[in-house]
Amino acid sequence: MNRNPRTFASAATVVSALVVATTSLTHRVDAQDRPAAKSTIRFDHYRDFDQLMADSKALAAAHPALLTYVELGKSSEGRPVFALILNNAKTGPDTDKPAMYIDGNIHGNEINASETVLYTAWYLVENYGKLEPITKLVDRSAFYLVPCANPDGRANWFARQNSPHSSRTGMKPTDDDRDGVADEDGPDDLDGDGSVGMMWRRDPNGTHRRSELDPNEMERVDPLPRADGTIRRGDWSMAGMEGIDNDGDGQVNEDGPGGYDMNRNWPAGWNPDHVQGGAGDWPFSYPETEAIGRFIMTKPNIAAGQAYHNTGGMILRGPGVPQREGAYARDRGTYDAIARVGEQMLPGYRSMVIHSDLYPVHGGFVNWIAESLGIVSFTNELWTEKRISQNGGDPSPQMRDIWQDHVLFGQTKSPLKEVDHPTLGKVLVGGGTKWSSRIPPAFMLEEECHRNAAFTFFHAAEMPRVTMGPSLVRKLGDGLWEVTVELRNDAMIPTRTARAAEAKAGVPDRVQLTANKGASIVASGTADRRYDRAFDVQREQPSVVWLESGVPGRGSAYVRFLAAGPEGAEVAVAFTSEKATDVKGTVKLVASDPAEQAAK
Amino acid sequence: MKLASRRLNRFASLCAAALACASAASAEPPATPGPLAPAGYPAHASVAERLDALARAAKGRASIVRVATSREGRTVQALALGASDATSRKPAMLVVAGMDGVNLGSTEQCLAAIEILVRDHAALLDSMRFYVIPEANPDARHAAMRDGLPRATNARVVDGDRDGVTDEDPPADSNGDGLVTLLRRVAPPGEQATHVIDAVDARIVRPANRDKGEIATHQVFTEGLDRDLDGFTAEDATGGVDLDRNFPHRWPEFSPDAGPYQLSEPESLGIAAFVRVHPDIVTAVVFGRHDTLVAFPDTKDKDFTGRTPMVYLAEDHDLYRDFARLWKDKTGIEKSQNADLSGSLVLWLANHRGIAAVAANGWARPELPKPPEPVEKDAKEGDAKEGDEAKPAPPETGDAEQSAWLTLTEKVYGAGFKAWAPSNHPSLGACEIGGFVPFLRESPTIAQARELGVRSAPFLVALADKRPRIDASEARLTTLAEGLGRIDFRITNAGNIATTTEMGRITDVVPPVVVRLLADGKPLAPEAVLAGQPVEKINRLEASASREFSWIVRLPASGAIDVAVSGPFFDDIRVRAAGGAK
Repeated sequence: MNRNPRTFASAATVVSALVVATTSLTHRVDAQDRPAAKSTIRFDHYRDFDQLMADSKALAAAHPALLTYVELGKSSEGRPVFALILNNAKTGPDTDKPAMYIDGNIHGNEINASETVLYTAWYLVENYGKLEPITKLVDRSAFYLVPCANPDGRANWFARQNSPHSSRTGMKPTDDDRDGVADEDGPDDLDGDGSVGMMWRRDPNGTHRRSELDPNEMERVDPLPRADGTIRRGDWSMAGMEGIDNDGDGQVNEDGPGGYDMNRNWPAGWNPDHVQGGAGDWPFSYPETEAIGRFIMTKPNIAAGQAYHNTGGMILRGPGVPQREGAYARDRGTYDAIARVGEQMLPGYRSMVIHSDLYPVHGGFVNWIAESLGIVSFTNELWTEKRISQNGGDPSPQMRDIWQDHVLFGQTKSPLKEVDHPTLGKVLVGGGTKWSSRIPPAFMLEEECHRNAAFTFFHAAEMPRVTMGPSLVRKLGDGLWEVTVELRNDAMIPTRTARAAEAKAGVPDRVQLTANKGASIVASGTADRRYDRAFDVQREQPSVVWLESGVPGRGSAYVRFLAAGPEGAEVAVAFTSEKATDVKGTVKLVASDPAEQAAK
Repeated sequence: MKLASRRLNRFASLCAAALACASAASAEPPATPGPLAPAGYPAHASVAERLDALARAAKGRASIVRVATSREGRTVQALALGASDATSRKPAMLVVAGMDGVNLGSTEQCLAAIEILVRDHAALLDSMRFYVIPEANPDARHAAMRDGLPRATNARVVDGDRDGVTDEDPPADSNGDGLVTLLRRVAPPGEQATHVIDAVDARIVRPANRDKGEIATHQVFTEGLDRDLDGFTAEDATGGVDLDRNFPHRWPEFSPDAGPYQLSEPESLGIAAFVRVHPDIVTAVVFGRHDTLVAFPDTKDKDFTGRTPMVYLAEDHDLYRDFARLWKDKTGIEKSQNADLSGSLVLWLANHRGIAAVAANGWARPELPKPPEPVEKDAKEGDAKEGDEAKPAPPETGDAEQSAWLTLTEKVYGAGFKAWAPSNHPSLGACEIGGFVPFLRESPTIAQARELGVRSAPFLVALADKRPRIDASEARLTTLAEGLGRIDFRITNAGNIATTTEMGRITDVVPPVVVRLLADGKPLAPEAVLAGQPVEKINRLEASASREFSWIVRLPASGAIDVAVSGPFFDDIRVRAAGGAK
């Protein structure tokens, strides 16, 4: 239904039209509209790294009360690794609130990831004070947004000849072919179309022939023999990616720019290159990963994490290898609950596990923050080509053809062209450009950004929200009291994941009990349930109760103490947690409702 | 949160420490071991002076470089020996010591050995380089010497008990006897007991042996004050990270002394970065708490990836066994101390960098002085006197290792055990404080360490002789037709170890030996090479092995074709292809 008041009015009665008009004049809260933005940033195109940085700075400048641009470090080539810190200082410093960390584009070619992160910042600041759910979310959380974790890879992808898959790496010179010289034999754009495509060579025993449907496409010849037993032969075979033997070693394109994978360079389960290709010398051996890692370690309030990649339409959780499955065993419910909602919000996306549904990853980023730091985290593989077909399935070759020719008007294709190759002779070069296959076309970018951002807002809204429930006070006689304090968490994410508790990562939650007016705390500990008769007593320091497992998601933790003191005396309760806003309250030593006491 | 488990963990680590010591006993000590460590040990400044002196003694064939600056601002230095010409490449040996402040002797052992090497084997420096890092963890050693307390970790601030406050409850001399020892008490009702006092020797407190029906009665703590009044003593000591648990291979994640991530420390990262830029290193010796020479780690197991060995790759065992034999032959040392290798420097060098790396110390409990030989009985007469059998053997304690140390403290060291004395601890109440004096079991005395260094020197000299050497044959040019020639060439590893370990071949981080064709000094155009590869890479060449190459090329107008060979540990070789018509 179209809820836009401008078109709604014509079909409505005069009275209802007036009502609508009045509403829209005072406070228009229409989720289908773009907000009346203070910034001029648009999401109908892709920006190179410099534009991304400029727009990020401009967004922060337009919203100084909410958004801060900070530089975390420099890339290998000296570009800023920057973050946008979103926090409403009026509701407290960022580190006092649960925070969500979001980044993208650690693989330089995955450019739509940065757009999604920038959109996230843009949507939050432009809708703050306009959409109530966004206002509430911003007021009680912080966001750490790193639009581009690999500035050099992004810059290189835009500036130079590339394929949809190249420039995944950073740009630290790396001697891939171990000949003592770094980055001396990368791909070359032989046909001058700005992209690196496939090279085809004439071959009397070819595997391919030019497609009849589209002569700019190669199609594989059918490997089945004909009825008479003869086999089909094509006249073209693949001759590798576009390029020449720049260093004269007999190999083509074997030592291009960079040549590593920064999403294998994180500490959790890190393994060296011979186990995990592209891992780097050791965790944080690249300036980009080091800068981001150091930043994250200074923010123990991060409770939720999201990393954007492409492609395939996936909501991925760890582990990266089956041997670390145990790290998620008791948090799976939380992950699954969030991811299931994500599947509803993101058409064509499926909730998956990295090692079993994708491929093994040692030293991945979300694995580090989930498994080492106890942050509930996902990786989304943005964009799926299922979005180009009517039925949401994988598009057939014919659908693809219609898509490329009649929807995209051939913009992502380069015609096959003959060029002279120094060692291969005449070759055909062309095919899909770097803009093909892995990213949505510009006209679909904003939707992709919005749906993914909305998923992270859902995730962020499920970061721990702890309040003090009604305390149960029982009068034991002889000036003794038994008090059960309830700490409630209405959100899905616990204040400490089971992983953090098991690994003893971070500082446990802490409840400080301070008795006033001649009262004293005699003993304290935890109870599993509100009405349990006995409790797990903590032997030392009754004034402090540690909660290693924190406050569970959609549940409560119970702290029980025995106090001595006069009726009416007060005990101050102070709850502190790394990943939840602190809670303060007082309990009066006055017996609770007798009916509730009887329940115990 | 189960608070009891925190305490148990601490007991477990105490027991583990005791076990690590128990696994060992060493060759005879010097006649007089002298006062216990840290007495007589060189401070950080003295180590630097000795490095300077070594550099001077090496007469221009030495330089000193900064490897790292420690968290407390001390310089971790490397002495490069044999390095007069920086552009000349030679096989190199890395020698690292002083990774911790527990075995203080490693630095002395390393320096003493290198001093002998420079003094008596200067010719070695012509054919080999040595990179010597004698004090990798100066902060740990400084603190250990200052406090008289073994300390493995550097000066990183760590919240050991995870209460949000750091370093608030370190080990401390709570009874004012000048030493930090142990604190034992009868476990109060309701608290778990883990230890017993030995029935034969009440000085010994040890874990109850439940297999023998013993029931634990006591608790044992590191002496401390419980300054944070949380009911535990010394649970949040000052520092830090154990560098030898901070390296990436089998890094023990979540162990508080392993660091928040691999190579999180300036000292460990500095060493790693030093190794990364020195691909000439072919062998390495780490002097410290670990040993792979005396008790050869026989396991052929791999880690969970199935691609990296737990200790050494099975295919490299022959090499390492050869090194172990060398150690035994040259030092005569047959016993040593050992510790868990997880995250250690030596494992990282061997498995992530492909360097033939070993760990050594030679330090362990000295043998007890031999009792005087009994008068030999005349076997032929066979009339044993009744009185001999009447004398019963002294009863044995439940902990032979502690007993042996107690005997040593009485008969050899003279001191080394603090008698248990009753004390009233501010938070633990009535208890006894005493036990072995710090460093008695953890570290050799300075005299013992020097002796170990003297004995280690011949091993280093012999190990330096283990190195690869690339020899090139002549490059034989056979003209096949006008402007067409075949070039035949061979390289040989004339050394006595492979160019890299088999693990080095697998890691791919060791630069290969590269053989390439040049025409008039420039790379031959690939289209001029009709057979063979214009650039060949040899990842590993075993000792005494050769690799043959044969190319058919279009000859340049000048006819001048060179074969160039380069690699990380030898100077570039260039051979002019020469010969004649077929």
